[in-house]
Amino acid sequence: MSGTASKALGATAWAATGLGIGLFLFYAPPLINPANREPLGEAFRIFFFHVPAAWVTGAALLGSFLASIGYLVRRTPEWDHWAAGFAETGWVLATVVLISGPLWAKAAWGTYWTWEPRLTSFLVLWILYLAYLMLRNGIDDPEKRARYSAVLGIIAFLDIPLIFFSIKLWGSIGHPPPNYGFFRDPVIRNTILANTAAFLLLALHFSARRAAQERAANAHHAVVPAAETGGESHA
Amino acid sequence: MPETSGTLYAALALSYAWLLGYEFSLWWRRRRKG
Repeated sequence: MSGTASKALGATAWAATGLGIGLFLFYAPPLINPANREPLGEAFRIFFFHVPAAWVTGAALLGSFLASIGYLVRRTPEWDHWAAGFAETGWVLATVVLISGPLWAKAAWGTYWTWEPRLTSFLVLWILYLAYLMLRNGIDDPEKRARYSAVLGIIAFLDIPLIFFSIKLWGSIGHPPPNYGFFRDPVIRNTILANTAAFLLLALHFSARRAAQERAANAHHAVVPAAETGGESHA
Repeated sequence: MPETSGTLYAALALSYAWLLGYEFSLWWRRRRKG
């Protein structure tokens, strides 16, 4: 991606993010519980960025998972650059989920955290991708780093279906299942879709930037002739 | 339901400050590497 295209994507992503915030603060009506018509309170506007951030975390980590498979199949560095970019982006967005979730939980349930299936499996996801980033940081050889990270990138992603099905598997103790009743209101639906689009643009922007940095670092490494590294072969 | 807009603004400020901070870190890393 050229410098201009990269800057344009970044500017668009941040403009969409600003618009998304404006929509859920000033355009969306106060949320009403579709089940009993009770008002849910102002803190429930956290819904409009907590849920899209969680969805786009999944999308970014799916990107990393697919790029990791791509690397193991093709063994070309570009797959690894994108796997790294998507993984770091997914971890950054997962952090947003872990910041906004407990604050919302405090308002809704009276406690910041409870060790119930969805929260616990999501925290495990955050730790797995933190381990992924630490692993990348700890290996200097690009080929070895790419191979090890691809394996971890595939294993770590297996937690996502576990998060998704956690409520069905173990029942909902705290975190509610998706409440599609909200989607019947077009204003609420459009607000959440606009915020999801904004997070998707932001994720693409972050991932592309990060992939470009990995590419630049690898290009720097590649100028060292193979003979100088002892001609070590990597299986 | 108690007045909870303070919670909303705390979550909003922390979440988006984190994202802006990450944007800044990307810019900083690129600037350092030239």
